[in-house]
Amino acid sequence: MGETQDLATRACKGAGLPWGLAEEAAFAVSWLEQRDLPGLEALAEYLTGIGQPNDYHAGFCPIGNGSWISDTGSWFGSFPLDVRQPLLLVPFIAQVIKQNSLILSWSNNQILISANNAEISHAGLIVGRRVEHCELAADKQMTEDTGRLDRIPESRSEWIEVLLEFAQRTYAPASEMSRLLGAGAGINDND
Amino acid sequence: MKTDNGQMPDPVPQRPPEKVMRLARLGSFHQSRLSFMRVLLRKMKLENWTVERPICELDDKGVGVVTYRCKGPDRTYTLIAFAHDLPAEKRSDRVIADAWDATFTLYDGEPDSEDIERLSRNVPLQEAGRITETEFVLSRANKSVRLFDYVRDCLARGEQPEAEKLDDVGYLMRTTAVYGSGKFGAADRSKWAGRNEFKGSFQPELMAVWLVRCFASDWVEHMARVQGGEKAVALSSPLKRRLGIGNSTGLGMAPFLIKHPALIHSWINAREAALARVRNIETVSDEEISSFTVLVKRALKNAMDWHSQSELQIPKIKALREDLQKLLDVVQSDFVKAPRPWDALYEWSEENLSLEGQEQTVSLLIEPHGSMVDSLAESMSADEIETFRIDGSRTTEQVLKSIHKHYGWAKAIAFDSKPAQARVWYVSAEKLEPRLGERFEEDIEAYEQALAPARDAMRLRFALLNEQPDETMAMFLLHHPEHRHVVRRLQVLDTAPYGELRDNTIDEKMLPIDLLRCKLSFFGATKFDPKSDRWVRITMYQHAPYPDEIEELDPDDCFLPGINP
Repeated sequence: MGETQDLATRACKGAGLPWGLAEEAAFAVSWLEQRDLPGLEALAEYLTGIGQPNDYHAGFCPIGNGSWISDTGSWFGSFPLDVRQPLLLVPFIAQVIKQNSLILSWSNNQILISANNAEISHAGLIVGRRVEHCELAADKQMTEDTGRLDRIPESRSEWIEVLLEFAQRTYAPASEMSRLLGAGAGINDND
Repeated sequence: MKTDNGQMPDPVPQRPPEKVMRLARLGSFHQSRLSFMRVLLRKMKLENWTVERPICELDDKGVGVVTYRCKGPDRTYTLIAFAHDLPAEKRSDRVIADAWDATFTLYDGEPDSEDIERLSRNVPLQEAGRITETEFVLSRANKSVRLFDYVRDCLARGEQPEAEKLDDVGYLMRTTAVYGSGKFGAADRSKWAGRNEFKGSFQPELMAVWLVRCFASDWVEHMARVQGGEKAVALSSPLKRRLGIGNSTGLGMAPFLIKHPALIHSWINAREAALARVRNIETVSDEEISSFTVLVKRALKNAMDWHSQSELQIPKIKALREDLQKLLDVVQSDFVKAPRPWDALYEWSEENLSLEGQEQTVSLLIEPHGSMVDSLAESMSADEIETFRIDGSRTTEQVLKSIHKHYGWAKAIAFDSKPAQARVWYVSAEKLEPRLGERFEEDIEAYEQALAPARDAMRLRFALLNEQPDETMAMFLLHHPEHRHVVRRLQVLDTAPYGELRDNTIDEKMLPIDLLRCKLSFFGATKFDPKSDRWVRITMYQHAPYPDEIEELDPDDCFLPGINP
């Protein structure tokens, strides 16, 4: 698993999402970052905005809604949809698109999604903490995938810090007992 | 399941997952010709790779930089070694150490002086530094002080060290971590996964380790020259080959086997397909028998040279030695007259040998049949993205069947009893190190990692028994997202049946070293020497050719010791 996915999985788990949804979030963030879209930022804002753990049950969760689209293999019936961080929905929609491309829109934002790619076709604030009212509509064919980059770009450090803080909640604080039971503890390993 | 159907009627099938995927058996695996170190050296020999040492700047304290440039038909890689002067009190093999005798990175191409300068500021810091996507591996190693100093002193006096003393330890240095794809800034696997030279698993990491071994002997020779001046001699090649690279591996590696079912399936399936191909051979010539006999003798020699202080390992080594003696007797009897002689021999091993002996027999049976099995190495990797998406149209009934197929054995486990859930896999905040804790003695359950697939599958089963048989997974998971990771895993296992351990990973008696041993055997490691139930010392590349020998020596002939040293 790439570094991005690993961080996203742990951060979601730390924020209270179950493992399986944390894996979906990691998939989504990594898909977006590979296409130079701010997936880490969207996830960091989403996790910061949800407040209480288990808030993902509330229905505004892009990961839960995205997983539903992915599981059913269809976006029909899911839109219009009120959701936080709609950008995180994009990879799930892309997964189920077969031929034509679609436009996901909310407030001032529009994203053109095809099976392999997504393009922001309208510049504007795409990451905020509000619940957004989203529409999905058909559009023309899109161009090919622009390539993969499975790494954390240096410029994302602010969002990485936020996610690291969530991830930190999954780590057990050190105790004397855990040190004693650790891998090589108490044994002289030099010769 | 991909099986390996031969042409003959009623072929011997592959061993089923329920036989192979038991921890005690996996914890008895031995290296084979499908092990990744061997795949790498075979390919490097075939493709005439060359290794040069363009930079060797070491001072009288042994501090400095050495580079090894590894050139193949399409690309060049460079190991950059930073040698340090480490105070004795700072030398520790634990992952939580923060200084080492030497630190390394494998660079994609040929580094210029700016690259080396940048890396000299980061590689020595290891986890606390940051490398970039032109680097594929980050690693460090410590000396075996006892052997390093002895060899240096001998060479400085103009003498060769004693073979027995070399064999006693088996290496001059041991790596304490070899980090690969996507770690600490290193390139992600997707950057090199398509490259011909890195087909299979862990090839960049093992290329780095092979070059680290070369550095270790260059370093000791340098120190001998500093000490002995003109009197000093180089280490003789046959003695040098007795030295591998040591490694200490702790719990960090154990969760890997649980987290990557599709990949583990690809490894085990290749090995099982290889065994099945050999077992299906109809007749065996006298010549083949006599060369197999030599192999068994060499394996026996290897077992005789294998030492451990571990209460867990000592009886296993003793049994292996006895097993190999028995095997030798049987091979020299008239078993060849049986139809499918190799199959008869395998069947005999199951009835008469310990698990160590049985799995050593498997590796030995595969050994002489390179032309028949080597191509399987290319299948030993997995695209985990391909199997990621959940098919939500699957019904409760279908998933229950899948649970029965892969976890039927787990129904007998009382997961509400203390012994069956005694352990918790978690990550410590201290150094982000995976650990195994005691559920009922420590306050750690809240931090539990998803590394108990059998228990989780049983939880899913109980939840599904309350659903309608035709309820879809999409609908079920909408209301029960806590089972989502298990539904995904089951879907992977349907196409990767060797991907799951057939044992409870949180049982009070579970031995993490079994997981480590399995993975390390696929790397090609030998001389497993557990230091507790959760960390193990091994040797890598012992007896293998060095870069300057790979043209003349057959690397596949070097992974067992010779019987006439």
